[in-house]
Amino acid sequence: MNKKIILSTALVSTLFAINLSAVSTEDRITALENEIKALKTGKANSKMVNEMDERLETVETRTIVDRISLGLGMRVEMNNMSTTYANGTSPANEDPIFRTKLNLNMKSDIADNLKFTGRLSSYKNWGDSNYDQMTMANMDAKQGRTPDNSSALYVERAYLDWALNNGSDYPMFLTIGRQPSSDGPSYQIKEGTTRKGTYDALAFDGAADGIVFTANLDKALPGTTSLRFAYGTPNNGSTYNSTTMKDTKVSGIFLDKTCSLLNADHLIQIYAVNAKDLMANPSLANPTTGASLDKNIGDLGLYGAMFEVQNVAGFDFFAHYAHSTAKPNGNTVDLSAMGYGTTEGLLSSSSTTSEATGHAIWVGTQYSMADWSVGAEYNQGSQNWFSFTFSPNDPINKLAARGDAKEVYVAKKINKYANIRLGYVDINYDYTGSGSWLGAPMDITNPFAATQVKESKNTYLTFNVLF
Amino acid sequence: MKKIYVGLLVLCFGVISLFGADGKALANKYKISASEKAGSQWNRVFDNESKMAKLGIDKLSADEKKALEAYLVAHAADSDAPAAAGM
Repeated sequence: MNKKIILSTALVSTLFAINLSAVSTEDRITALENEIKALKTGKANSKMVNEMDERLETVETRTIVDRISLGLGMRVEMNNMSTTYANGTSPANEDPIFRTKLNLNMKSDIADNLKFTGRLSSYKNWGDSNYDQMTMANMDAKQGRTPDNSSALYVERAYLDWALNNGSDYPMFLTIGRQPSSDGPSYQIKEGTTRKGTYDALAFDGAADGIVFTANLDKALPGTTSLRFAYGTPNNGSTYNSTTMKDTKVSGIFLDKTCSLLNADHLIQIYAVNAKDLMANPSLANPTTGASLDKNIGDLGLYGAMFEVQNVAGFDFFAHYAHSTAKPNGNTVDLSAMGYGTTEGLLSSSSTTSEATGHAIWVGTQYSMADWSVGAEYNQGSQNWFSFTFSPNDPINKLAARGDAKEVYVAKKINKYANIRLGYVDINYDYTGSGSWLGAPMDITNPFAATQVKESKNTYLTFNVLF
Repeated sequence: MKKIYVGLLVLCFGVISLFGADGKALANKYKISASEKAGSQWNRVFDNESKMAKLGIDKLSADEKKALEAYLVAHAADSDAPAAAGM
């Protein structure tokens, strides 16, 4: 009996063991299958990772090789101008002037402590192929800034920002090359862009070569504070590196502060500039001998301050004041050979060395709502007001006016990168020669000023793209 | 008149120096370079606590975050970046 029980137990145990063994093998097979699957998936993943790595390397290579990133700026404008002379007459014909400005903007982060910024520009009147010497488009400050008869690309900006002490609490920079000296504040408010230049647009607007030292004092003062020392040779004459004349040299100091206060953006700039050895730069040579009439005629000092605040419940405001002091050196240019019958010096018509001081103000506001903005500006310049706004974006250089100018405009954003603006400018000149440093400004009511411009009006339409 | 104008200007400068704080100063403080990312990428950073923590800016006040985000977006790699010497 016991034997039977023992045999039965052994048999059951064997069968159970065999069964157990069978389950275990099945599980193992399943596990192995899973492992194979996982390996296959892993292999696939690994393959995918390798493929992605290759693709990323291609992108990385292109990023490394694409050393300069390019941007587009384009403005198409129509200016419908109307001119009235002091004697009450007007030109027989004033057709609307259409112009296109193309900016190819460049930037490159060369290294942590070195950046490049550039702008190649073409600014052309539509259908203009005749050489017009009176535009003096060959003048250095005007290249790429003043429309002419050529679609040539000029280097309007090309500068390196070199961080001298990267990572320091008081970073210092040298900006070397063709400077961002045009389209400065508060020009950007009307344009609907960020700040596009270093200097107060009431005093400076044009291309200029030079070197600027910037000390960033953010650590010492809240917000952003920059102290700048600038030096340049913005040759305003007919000859560069002449053997008979000194090149014009400009040096200046600028204190610039930006910050956000109560959710509004503020900018303050205070400056003092000295321009030495200005050249007369009469637009024509002696018609008989062909000799240049150019001479050094004196120095100019510019002092000013500006304040702007943006984004106050949709409003932007700005106010600028500048003071100019012309110091003639007694040299005059004899223009009698050119039929003018006059001699002219720095803001003078005789061999005087007396200082001539002038001043100007510029105020404006803009209100923005959704895609629309409306704005108004006013500026006024005194008899001897003179600045370096050789190359403004407006065709009648309103900020140089020795008189007063009013402007109103309405602008609409087409999309993030484009806007269209309709505006009206009315300038009343009280004195002659606005924007010129040659000759004594005359009261516009003087009989000798009968053929000078008394009033300029411009209704304009611009289409701007910045991408 | 000129003295009053200069006085007002100095006063404005002083007041702003006392109370002002902006996105650029915060970016400098936290050593964040705006041109490292595009504007939409910076917006994503400020929508994500862990991304902000990575930059160490998660503990900033709402106003500071707003100012910093506005600065970084305004100066992002694809932005209409301001231009001035040494900027």
